[in-house]
Amino acid sequence: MPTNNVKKFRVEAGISQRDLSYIAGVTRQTMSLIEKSEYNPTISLCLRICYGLNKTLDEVFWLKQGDFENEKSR
Amino acid sequence: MKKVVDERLKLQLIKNFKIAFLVENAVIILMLIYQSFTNIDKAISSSNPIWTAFIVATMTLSLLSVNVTASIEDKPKRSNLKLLSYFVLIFFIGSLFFMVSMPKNILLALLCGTVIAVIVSGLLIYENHYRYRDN
Repeated sequence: MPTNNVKKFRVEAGISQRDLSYIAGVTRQTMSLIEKSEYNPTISLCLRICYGLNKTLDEVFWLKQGDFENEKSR
Repeated sequence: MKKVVDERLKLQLIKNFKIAFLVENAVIILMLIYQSFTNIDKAISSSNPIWTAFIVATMTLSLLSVNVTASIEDKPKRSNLKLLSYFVLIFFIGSLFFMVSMPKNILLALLCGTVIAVIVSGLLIYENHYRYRDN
């Protein structure tokens, strides 16, 4: 289960993975890994993604206590 | 088109450097083992470029890892008195070692002891920067 809402908001905004990765300054492969929660981005990359999606950090990347523990055991 | 500076790929590049370093050193160690079987005096000497390269790499790695190990240990700073006592102790031990190994050159042995004490003390002073103040 993904621990962020990048894909959800990207689809809602109608932006392609390639376009969002271009805005955030990373490769499409990295964006794909972030969406699948297989890569932990730095805070600056998180913010660049949020600016690209016109959302706030807590909306896109907020983790509840349970999600955080799931992520650690990954 | 702007150039993509991807943090994930930067990390991957650093990991690749690490693997390259490990492979390089493994080959160097294998070559040194082979050389020491054929002629040990020639293998372990400063005139052997492979040995010099190995020592330079090892010293660089140990120097660079000081800020990592000191941060992980998180011990209080050593006082100046303690550092001075370490210097004197290392000077005596180093000089004694060289006096035993070359009894004819006492002055040279003392010089070698001083050099070792200065190097080790320098390392300790550098490491002290990464320790916390115990007050």
